[in-house]
Amino acid sequence: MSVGLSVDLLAQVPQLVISGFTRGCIYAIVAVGFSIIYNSTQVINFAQGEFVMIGAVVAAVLLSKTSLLVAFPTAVAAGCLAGAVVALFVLLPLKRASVVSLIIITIGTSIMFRGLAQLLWGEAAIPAPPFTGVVVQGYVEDREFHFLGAYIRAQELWVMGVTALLVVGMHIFFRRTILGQAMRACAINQLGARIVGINVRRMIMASFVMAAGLGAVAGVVVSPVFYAKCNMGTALGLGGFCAAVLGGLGNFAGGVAAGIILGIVESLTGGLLWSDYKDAVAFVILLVILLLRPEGVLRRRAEA
Amino acid sequence: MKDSERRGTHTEKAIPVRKKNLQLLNILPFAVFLACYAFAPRVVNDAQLTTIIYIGIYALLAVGLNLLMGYAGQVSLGHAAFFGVGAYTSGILTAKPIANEVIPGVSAGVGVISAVAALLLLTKPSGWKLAVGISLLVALGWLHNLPNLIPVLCAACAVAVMGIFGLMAKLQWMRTCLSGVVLTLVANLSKWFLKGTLERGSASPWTGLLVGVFLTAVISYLIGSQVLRLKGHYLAMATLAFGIIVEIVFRQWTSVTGGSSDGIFNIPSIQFFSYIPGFLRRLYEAAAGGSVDLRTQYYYLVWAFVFIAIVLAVNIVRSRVGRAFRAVHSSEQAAASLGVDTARYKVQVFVLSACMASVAGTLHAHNAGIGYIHPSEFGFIVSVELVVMVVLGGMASVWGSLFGAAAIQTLKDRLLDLEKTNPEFWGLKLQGLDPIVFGAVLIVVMIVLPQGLVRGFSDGVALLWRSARRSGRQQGVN
Amino acid sequence: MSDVLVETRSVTRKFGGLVAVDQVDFQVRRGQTKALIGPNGAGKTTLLNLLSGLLPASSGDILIRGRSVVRCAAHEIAGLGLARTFQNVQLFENMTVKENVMVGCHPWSRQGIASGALRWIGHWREEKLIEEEAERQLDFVGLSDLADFPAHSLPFGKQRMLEIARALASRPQVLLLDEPASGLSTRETSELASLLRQISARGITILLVDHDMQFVMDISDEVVVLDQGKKIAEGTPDEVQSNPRVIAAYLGVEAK
Repeated sequence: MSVGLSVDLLAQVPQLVISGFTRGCIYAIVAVGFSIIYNSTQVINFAQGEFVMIGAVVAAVLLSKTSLLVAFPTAVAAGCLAGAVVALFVLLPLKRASVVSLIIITIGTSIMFRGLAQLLWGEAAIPAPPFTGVVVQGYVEDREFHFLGAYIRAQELWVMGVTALLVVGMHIFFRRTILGQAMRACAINQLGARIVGINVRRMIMASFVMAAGLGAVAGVVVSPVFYAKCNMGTALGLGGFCAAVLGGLGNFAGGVAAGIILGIVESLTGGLLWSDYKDAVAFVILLVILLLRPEGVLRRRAEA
Repeated sequence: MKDSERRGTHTEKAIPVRKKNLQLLNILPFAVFLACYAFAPRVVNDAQLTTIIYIGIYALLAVGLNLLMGYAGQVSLGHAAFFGVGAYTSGILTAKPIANEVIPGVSAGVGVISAVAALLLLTKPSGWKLAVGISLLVALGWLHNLPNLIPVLCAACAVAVMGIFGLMAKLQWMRTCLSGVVLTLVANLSKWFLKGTLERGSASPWTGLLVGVFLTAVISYLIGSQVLRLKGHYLAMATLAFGIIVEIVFRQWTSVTGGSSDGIFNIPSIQFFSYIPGFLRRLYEAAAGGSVDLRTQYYYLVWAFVFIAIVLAVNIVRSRVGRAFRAVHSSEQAAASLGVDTARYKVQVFVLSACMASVAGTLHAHNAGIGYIHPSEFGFIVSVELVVMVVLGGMASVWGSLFGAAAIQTLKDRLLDLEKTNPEFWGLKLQGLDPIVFGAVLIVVMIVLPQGLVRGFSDGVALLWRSARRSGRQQGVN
Repeated sequence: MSDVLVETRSVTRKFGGLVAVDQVDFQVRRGQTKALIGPNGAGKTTLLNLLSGLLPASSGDILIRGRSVVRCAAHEIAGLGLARTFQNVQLFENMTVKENVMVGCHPWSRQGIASGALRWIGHWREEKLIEEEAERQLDFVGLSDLADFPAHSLPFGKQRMLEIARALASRPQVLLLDEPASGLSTRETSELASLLRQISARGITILLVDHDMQFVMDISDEVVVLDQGKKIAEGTPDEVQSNPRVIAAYLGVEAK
């Protein structure tokens, strides 16, 4: 029996890799968001996954009514607004805030966003039409390509393409633009940055808005692939955090690579081993990585 | 010196913590508490009693979590998991399944085994843990009559993970093989043994309580000893992940937990009065003014546990170990340099608060007239709710937790009442307001009153009192 | 041998490429007051952290009362009779002054969590001893009238005193002081010096790090000079002050 099972399962591997890759792209973007905020504030923003949720839900709602050209910017703007709100809550008590209170504040905003989305659009999953598709009997159906024994949907290509664009864009932003360099300066030494005339509070605000915007873009492109749901944020946020830790917090390239690997591993283990527990796979991986890895990360920070 | 300016606020402004000669002030809250405890059933109606029972259950949870979070400073965002372990253990052991659907006690045994196996594979890898974990997984596969594919794959994964981290060299092969053989044997024996004894629905609630606490202690020790090495954000994330994993297990392990569609129902209540001596029963009856029905009995039971928990917590806080907890919160380095074994104390307080949560879980499962549990009662949102209770009542304030639990539970009831009227606001149906309200409460309390309502309030009163006295004195001088 | 309480054998600590403490050997004998001095970044605080187990050594050996402690955790080292204070005062700010000192009694008290929760007889007996010890130490450093104030409300100089009282409450054989005089006024410094002489007279060995040369030379029997992680001189205060390598290190001149 096990032989027959494994042949069946093996045939699914390419398909699982592709869906894992798509999910991994989202993790990668969320991981970059974590890194951006961590770099400028040393805060881990527990609301990071909710930005993706906001982008996805707003886009899904709008895509069924209007065109992509309206839905995309609106959803991203909503995400950025959410980011600004979190930044405000984090910045208000910043002078005397302990790690515990920052955790609690970001958790609080996280569940507030979730509740707000649930209030506005309900708990059910919202289907969204793909960006590029063919109209079949009144429905927009996605194009599919055959690739190495698996089907790959056009929307999944969109996700991968947008992720690549965002990552390259972020790299250029932080290396080449004044604002990006100012943000890096804040990350390296806040006091020094303040002395040379950089407005640190504004930079922190900018980093939150940017991380949120990134998350929202990810949400928009992914909403036709996964169904947009108001409780999708926690899992994506934790996965992204996992990737960020694995790749080294603050390290963009590492986070992206780790995110994609994590997505694929999760999809394979979920698909091949524990289909009942496939939602738990990401969390188990996160726990294992946290227990094995951050000692190294923390030790390096303590020494620096 | 700039540093000294920042730290050295003037002593005159500070309020001395109250001294020992005010013992009365320490005992007073307990006296008030006991009076309210005894006479409450006289003044409340049925619906209010239900709320009060729930407040008691959540107060137990909040007091435990406060020891961990408020005193020892370790955040847990997965505390509802232990609440659930207590509830499910007791529920599984005591609830009579519907006819024709008898699930043999093997399931319970499988539960214990698989939990230990999974945890061992999760923890810091070492040779014997790997061996135990793999053999438990093999045993598990055998118990479930599954092909051995899954355990073998798990083993392969574990070996790969350990290989990557260069731990293969540390494996002690002799011990590995030996412990593997022994554990397979033990698992087989336990299958035969458990079939007879752990039949579903045969245990008394007290057995459920004890087994639940024991299981929780084991799980929380295994998890805590690993996870508490992490700090701050990492710890919060790890406990969050743990909590969600446990919730998923409750949802997916349908053969044992009933899954998310059924849950477990028909859980018997506890007839408190049949377990206590006659004079106590008469005392209770006198306090309640007449015969005491099952729900009121249950109320007395729950709040007796709350009372015990508060006494224990207050005692611990004012003892050598309690001071060590608070020292760990403030500065782990300084605590360690004074001989405080920080790792050990962190695990100790983690296990303690998990066990308190487990007791609360058992009480929740046996709740008179309800006797039903469902995975959604032990999810992430519940963990966050517990954090809200602790934060609102005030970190490092045992009585504050009681207040926080009462406030949040009442608020939840009010919201539920409000939602029953189908309110609309600008054409929006207001449903599921809990997360928004709780999120807002968390943010506002953290920003405005980081010490919590109770401490913030009493500090405010003390400050007013002092300034009033000072101005009075000045008038006297003038 | 039994005369030597603390000994390091070519102990080394590296941070990445930087060698903060480089093959340092020195001994502290029972009853001595010894000082570690050196310019900024010489590795003095790192050396104290190595001794008290807050940092693991990269190589070399540390012996306290003849026992190797390089593999020991900080709390085990404290159990051997070594207490310390910190450069940037680390009080338990959420506790009162007296409770801070009571935490200091941890190494020699034994009652566990069950005893505390259930208030067994042992708890009361030991709690009384702990309180007496705390009051005695607070009295010694002159803070007894502030015992019930929150620790963070003390002015900085008194916080330093409290930290010393807390360390003394652990009944140490060796007291490590990391820059005890920094941030103190001249008057407070001279008070501190007389306090340290009293502590030394009780038979407690002191190892201290400080920048205030007059203070150091005033109270210590022997001085070790570190520069860039290496020990460059050791001897009585007079010997060290006339050592050309020490003068060179402090004035930034290249030594021959």
